[in-house]
Amino acid sequence: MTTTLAPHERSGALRAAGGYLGLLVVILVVALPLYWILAASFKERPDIYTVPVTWLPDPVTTENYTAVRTGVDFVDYLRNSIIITVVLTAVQVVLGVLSAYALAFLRFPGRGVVLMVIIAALMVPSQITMISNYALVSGLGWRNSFAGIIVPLAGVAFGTFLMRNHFLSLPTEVLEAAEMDAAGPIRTLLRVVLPMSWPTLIAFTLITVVNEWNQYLWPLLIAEDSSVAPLPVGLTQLQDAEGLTNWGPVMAGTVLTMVPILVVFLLLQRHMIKGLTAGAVKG
Amino acid sequence: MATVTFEGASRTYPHSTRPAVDRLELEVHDGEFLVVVGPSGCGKSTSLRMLAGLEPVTGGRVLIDGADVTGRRARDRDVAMVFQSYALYPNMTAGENMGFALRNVGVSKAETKARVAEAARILELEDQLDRRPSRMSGGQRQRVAMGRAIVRNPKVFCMDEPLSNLDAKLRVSTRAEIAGLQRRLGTTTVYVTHDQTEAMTMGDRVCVLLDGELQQVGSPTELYERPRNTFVAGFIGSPAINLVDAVPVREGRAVVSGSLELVVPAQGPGPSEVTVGIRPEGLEVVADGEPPRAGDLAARVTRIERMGSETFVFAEPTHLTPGVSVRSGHLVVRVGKRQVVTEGQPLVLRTHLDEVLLFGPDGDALR
Repeated sequence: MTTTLAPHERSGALRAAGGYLGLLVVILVVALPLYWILAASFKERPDIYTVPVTWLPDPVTTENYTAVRTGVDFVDYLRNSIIITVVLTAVQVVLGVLSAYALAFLRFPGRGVVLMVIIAALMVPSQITMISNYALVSGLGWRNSFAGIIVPLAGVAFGTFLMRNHFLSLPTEVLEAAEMDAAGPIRTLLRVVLPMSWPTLIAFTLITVVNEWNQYLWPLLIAEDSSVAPLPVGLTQLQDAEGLTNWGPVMAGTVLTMVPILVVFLLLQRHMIKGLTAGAVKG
Repeated sequence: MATVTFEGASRTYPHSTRPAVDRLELEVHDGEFLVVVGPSGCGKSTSLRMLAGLEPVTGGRVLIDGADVTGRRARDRDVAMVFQSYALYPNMTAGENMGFALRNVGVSKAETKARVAEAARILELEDQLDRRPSRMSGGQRQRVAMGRAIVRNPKVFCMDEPLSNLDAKLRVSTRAEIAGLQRRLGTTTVYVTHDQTEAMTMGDRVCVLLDGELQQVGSPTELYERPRNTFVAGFIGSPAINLVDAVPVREGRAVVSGSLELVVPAQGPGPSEVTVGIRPEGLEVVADGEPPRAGDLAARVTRIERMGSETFVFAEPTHLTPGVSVRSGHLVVRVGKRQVVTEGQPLVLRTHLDEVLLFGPDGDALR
């Protein structure tokens, strides 16, 4: 018995096939390199270079991970990364939320201009300001210090923009109710606005954490040794230390760098999806 | 307990030439329930928000208890508001929602708890205090919104269409509850609605707005029986009043048809044309065989709406004076449920002459 498909069914099947093809390409592009990093980190040095490629490390070895620990001050780099990321995330989230609140809800002269300046700042690539920032930081004597790494990166434009737009989407009447209920700006922010903004705030926090964890160019310029340099810079050190042919420890270092951020992501992403405004107004 | 006074209060929105509320003059007495009613965009919500302090007043003044509050912030006016959407805080329980304002002004935890419990008792919300708004029904949310207003014991309640999100049946019962609650608490209340039934049933007085301008303030009966103009006459009452336009005036009498003539009260020359207003119950169907009288109108039934307890007959008058037209094309007549009427049937309608309203060409009532 033959089944004939209706035209829309045939096109539906074609579209599904196209979708799966796209999915496959994405997996190859994104997941394959990740897998390669993971696999290589457990291979012995000669196995990384064998042709044809071996997909599973055989024998499995953890010597690359030992090399990371002994080759560079991995723990120092990790500590630095945590300090830089935590401080920068805290500062950016606080500044972003406060400035967004002001731009969304408070009326003051020049509000529009401030917003325009912030949006303009979003459009300037950080590399452009790097030389002048370096001169400034150097002049302040902040080279090879946490202040030198953190302060120039602490400016926030994206977060302000993101949070402001979210705040503007909140039901006006709830904010007016808070005003009628004699809640001051800080209380309104903490008790009314933020509880309705968790998904956006968590998204903003997550983006900031990932971004700051992966900061490379600026810390590379400012940090001179393992006392302040974060992990991405440390990986470069590792590469230099191991020479250009020994990729095993570098891959192991990369895996170790990725793990903390992966944990943070897995912890936070659940909350991003939860909508919390339900029940504020009708519906 | 307070009086509210609008003294020539206006609100013109930025980039708008016409004011949304135009020199509003209105006095709300202490403890009064005033309903502000009007069609969409008439400025009724804007007026309320001007009183609450959520909308700046661009001209004139707003006074609460004789004190000018025009420049005062909403939180400093001692006014509570019930919003159309309820605007409950979704992250707080019903009890926290109600107590939030008290905590903000530094009322102790214990007293907040006591006052919330009291409000919950009045509103029959005692078993709901630990629930979040998202877990409550529309009617319960509405009560929480009411509770949030009453725990504060404010000088004035502002209510912005608080019943419009409820279903029809709940609306009727909540209507009575709110009116009863207000009478019990005796708090001055300004209540905005577009529903003339709410206006008629709830308010001590009703204020009708159109295009930002005050049309008339008065008791529901006054508005119904002595509307100041055709707009108020048409807005108050359901089904709407019958308006007969372009009725020529000859020798001081408005000639609607050969048999229906009305005396036009006028000083001086008087208008040459008037609009005649007759409520649906101001007309009755004359039984077959009864002798014709002055004030009778011949008509033909075009449609019948049976409401159960009463019936509304839509009839087209057949012998009007040339040039005279009926607004909306037909006269609505309220008849008892026992009266037999069929579509297409010719009728004779008798007018209660003492209930007829006359309006000049500008729409204002002639008295």
